[in-house]
Amino acid sequence: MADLLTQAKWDKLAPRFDGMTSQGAEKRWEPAKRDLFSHMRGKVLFLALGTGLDIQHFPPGQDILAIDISPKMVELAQPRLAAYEGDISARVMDVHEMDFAPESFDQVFTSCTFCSVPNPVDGLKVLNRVLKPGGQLFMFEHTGSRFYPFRQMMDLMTLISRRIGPDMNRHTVRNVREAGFRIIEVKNVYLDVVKTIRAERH
Amino acid sequence: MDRRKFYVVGDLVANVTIGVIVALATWLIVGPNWNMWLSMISMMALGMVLGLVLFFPFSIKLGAHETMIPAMYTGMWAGMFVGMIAAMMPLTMRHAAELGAMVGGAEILFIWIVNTLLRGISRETGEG
Repeated sequence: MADLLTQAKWDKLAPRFDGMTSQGAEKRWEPAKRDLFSHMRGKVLFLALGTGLDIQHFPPGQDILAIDISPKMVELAQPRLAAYEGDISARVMDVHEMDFAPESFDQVFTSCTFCSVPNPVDGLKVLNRVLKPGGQLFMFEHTGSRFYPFRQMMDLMTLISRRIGPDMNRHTVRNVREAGFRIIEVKNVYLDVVKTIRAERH
Repeated sequence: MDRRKFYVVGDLVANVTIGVIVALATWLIVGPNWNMWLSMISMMALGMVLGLVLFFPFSIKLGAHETMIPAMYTGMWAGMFVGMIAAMMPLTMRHAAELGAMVGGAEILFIWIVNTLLRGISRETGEG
């Protein structure tokens, strides 16, 4: 059964999501996201779809299955899914409970996903399972910081932010390693807080 | 560092504005009869809270992380700095606003420098 609390949180945010992110974060992060998504090849799993804002940055002609825990988000993403010039479909699904067969995907892409997944290491282990041997994980994530005073500030912000949306202080690089991936590259986009992570299934 | 003009100017304007607002709020509250340490600590906390609120309208165009982190620091430093001076000597409103603007400008400069140092490919052992 899907995590109903997380689902309800994102369902509630869905109608305001584009207004909060489409003009600011999406435009500012566009170069980094385009660069990351340009690596898409083969059968791709993408999470979390949200309202589909990331689709504009996908290279055309890809074979993509996108998931999101929020039915409301997936509903709002429909026009963007329809406009994509390639093979893309979407399903409502909790990352902890993905029912794909093992080794189903060549690549997995995530975009601001593991700031919100309640059990990130468990979720990443599921991604490890559905990737083909040697398959790669590409992530665009915001995380906590390693440095004073940013680390303390992110901890403080998380007390508020997790009530309405994501955590701000996740240790996502460490979590990826703990889930059994080999880190290939970590590229900081803003401070050491917004970053891209490239990892490979062992 | 983000070299796109819109974001360079936008970040600067946001932080100078937040610095001025926090400084003026501090100026309204603190007088020369205040204990300096109490003033610094309480206005630092107030500045952080104000920064956390004031970042929001700017974040709609400039991005949440890129405005929230500097705004909290600008608020914190502007509150602490203006609180300290206001407790030590009489301060005009204009002087308080100028100090707030200076703190906002200095804070975003600090963030730009740190961002320039941290951006790019980090060591593979990097956590976060």
